[in-house]
Amino acid sequence: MAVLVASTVPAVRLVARVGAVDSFMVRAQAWPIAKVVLRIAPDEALVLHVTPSDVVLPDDPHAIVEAEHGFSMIAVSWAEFDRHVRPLIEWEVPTARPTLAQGLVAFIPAKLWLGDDGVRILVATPFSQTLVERMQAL
Amino acid sequence: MAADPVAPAAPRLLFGGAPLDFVLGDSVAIAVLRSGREPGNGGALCLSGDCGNCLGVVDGIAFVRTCQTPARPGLVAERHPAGGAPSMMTAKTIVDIPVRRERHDVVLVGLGVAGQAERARLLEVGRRPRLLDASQGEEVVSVYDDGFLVVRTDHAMIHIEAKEIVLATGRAELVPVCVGSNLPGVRTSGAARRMVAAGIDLGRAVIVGNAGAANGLPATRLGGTLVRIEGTLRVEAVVVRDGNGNDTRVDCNTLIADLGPAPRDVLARMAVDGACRVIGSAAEPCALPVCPTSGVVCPCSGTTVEDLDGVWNRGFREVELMKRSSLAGTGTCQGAACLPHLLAYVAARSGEPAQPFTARPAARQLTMGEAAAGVYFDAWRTTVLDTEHRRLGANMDRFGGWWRPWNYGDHVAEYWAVREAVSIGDVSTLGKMIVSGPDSVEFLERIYPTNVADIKVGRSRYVLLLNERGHVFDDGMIVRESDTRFVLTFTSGGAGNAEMWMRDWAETWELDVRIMDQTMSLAAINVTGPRAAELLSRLGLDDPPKFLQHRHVIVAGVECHAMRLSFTGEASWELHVRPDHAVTLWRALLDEGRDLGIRPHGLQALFGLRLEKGHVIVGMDTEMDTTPRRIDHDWAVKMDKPFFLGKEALARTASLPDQRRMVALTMESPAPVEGSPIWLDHQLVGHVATSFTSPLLGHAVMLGWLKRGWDSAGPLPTTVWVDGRAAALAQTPFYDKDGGRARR
Repeated sequence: MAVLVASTVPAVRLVARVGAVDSFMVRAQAWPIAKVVLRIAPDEALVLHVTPSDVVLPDDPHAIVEAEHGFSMIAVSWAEFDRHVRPLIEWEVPTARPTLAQGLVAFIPAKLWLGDDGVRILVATPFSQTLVERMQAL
Repeated sequence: MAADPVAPAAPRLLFGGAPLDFVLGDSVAIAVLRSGREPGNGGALCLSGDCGNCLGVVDGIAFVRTCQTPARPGLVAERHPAGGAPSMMTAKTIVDIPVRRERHDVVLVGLGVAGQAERARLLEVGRRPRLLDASQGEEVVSVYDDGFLVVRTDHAMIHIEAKEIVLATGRAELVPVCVGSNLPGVRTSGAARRMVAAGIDLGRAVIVGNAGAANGLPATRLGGTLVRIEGTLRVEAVVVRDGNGNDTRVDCNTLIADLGPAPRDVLARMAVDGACRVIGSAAEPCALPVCPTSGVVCPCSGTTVEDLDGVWNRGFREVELMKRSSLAGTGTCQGAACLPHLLAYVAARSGEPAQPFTARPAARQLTMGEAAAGVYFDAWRTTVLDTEHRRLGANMDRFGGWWRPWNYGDHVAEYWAVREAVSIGDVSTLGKMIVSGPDSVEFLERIYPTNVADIKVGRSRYVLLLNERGHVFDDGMIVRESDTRFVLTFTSGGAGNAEMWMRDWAETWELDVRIMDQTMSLAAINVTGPRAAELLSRLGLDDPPKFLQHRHVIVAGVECHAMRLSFTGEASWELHVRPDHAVTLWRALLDEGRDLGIRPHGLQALFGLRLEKGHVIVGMDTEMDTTPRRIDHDWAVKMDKPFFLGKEALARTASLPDQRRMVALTMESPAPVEGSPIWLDHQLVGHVATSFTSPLLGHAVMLGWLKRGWDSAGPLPTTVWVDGRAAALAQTPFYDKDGGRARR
């Protein structure tokens, strides 16, 4: 049985005008693939493995750009996902890769970054231990 | 002759504590009937899973339809207790049951003739139906309007989302209703046929009715209509009446009811919003039986015709109301047996056609484990300091969606540490939000009932959060970081709602603001007590923010956003920090404060400390319709503002008399329990919302609600009675009335 581990992940969260986030997303496409950019709402993005200085939004001087240390990540293979995660999801997991999906996993709000090589599950750290326990129980 | 030593022994199950032989292929009910007994407390009636007459306890699980349960060696079955309910909570009923989730274009329930034909038709048009049939171990127990099905199997539940559901559930049979119709020995045609097929002798059997389903059975068909069934422990005779009104009594052991079809529509009646397509015989109308005049209508609930008469005569004349008031149809079979008779009864009494009642999931009894399969409790969050609390021996409890320390073993010592020395508390759970944008001041002016524009950068202010009705639903601080950027705090339990509230109104007003909820992104530690400043100084913060000021600072090498406020009544600084730095800061504070008498405090001490100051906890002390006036917080509402949410309601109700008021009370120790009634002149006039025996003051302090019993235009009473003792109305704060300790 796989041992699932949640680790805090350094990130930056930004909230800005939708147009400013759109522009940022376009620019971020040129970033190295390790810097995962997740559009979690029309006005909000979560960028993994960066610091606030990496994130510039010239289109919105009032944008909120904050270092985000409140998320933990659980990385699983697709086999592990099918065993430990998919049974806990009541919604249809998108088939596109890579893509972001957001919803409840075992009744806990989570974000899934669905990649070709596996899934990265992002969960607010205060929920992370419970989520791991529920996944591990399967 | 000696037994053949190599012949296999007949398989056995255990029924009622004794071994019972069965034949391979038997259901439990058939095996029991073969032994000359009945599987349930009544007689097995339909043996097709429609009625609830054969229910028993199988392998520790009650309310199992034994006619649908294959017999197997080692199975343990028994009847339900004759005089009461079986045990529902057993080790077998609360085990975790896994869930399998499926999504399909079309689900086809029932694989009889109509189901097979529909399957072929669907395949022809290129659709692959998911087939479900109880006989194949997949029993649909619930259908919902949105195309959601719950299916039970032996070892798991299946939750299915379907774009289309086709029900080919076939038909059941009408069961008789007359005097004696609940005696063992009464069978439907289908039940009799199954018994005969299993080699069970029906004895002297008669058939009543001529629907044709009983054709070919070894029984004598009687003419006329059924009047009553006679017998003591089981059927001994039937009485039928011919067209001339003459009754004939016929001795028999078995009565076969060949009364015609009844809809098998429990699933179809669950999804009333057109989510299902019903086909085959299940879709064909069934004639109602004659109106019952006596006997048990609902075998599950024991509802008799006399019960229906009583309900009808009390004025309940719709099927849904009759169901609720008589309990007919609320039992195990969800109306499969009784609904046609209930409809016939209502139609006959009202003279109008009656519509069936809605069925509600589940159509079959589920164990607790099956019902809860795939369902989890709301997750309780843990702060990043959770391990620290537990290491310090904290008694943890759940508040506002979080695990929090209730105390660390001695809440009085924690209290004194705050009052006399220094203490730290984990307030990471507080709601935290950033609001930024050119319209942020306008936005917050509309959201909050207090003035916002005049809060200077670097300052903060206490705020109430009101809804449109002027009711208090949260409170917190508004902290100004720049002309256009604010940090807001909320109660721990209110943060999620507050975020939705803010976002909804920002969108509604189309204001140019950005909102970021940081509740779970930051930890926070409250450093409080008369020696708190000294402790912070030791850790590098020589000039901490003054009262109601805030600043980004370094404490023990950790970047913090320090906010000076006070909930405990002592000088206090909330240090908001990155969660991955919180443990470092927490430990540094404890280490450096050791000789200052530091102790962490939990909620038990905190609740008392704040009560001494008269601080209200919104959501705990307040009620759903609490206005600022009722909690004496008019000072936090600026009615001269042009607009804020709730202003209109407050203005409209300001001049109305109001007999609800939160009051401060004191009395001799010990403090009464929270919720204690408050009495005035032997009348119940309110209750204690929160109470605390103050170690410092030496008596009990309370906040309580007075709701009636005095003239609201006149003064409040001076004395009330709580717990049989006099309690005096007082003024808050009970402690440090000029607030000097918090500000110094």
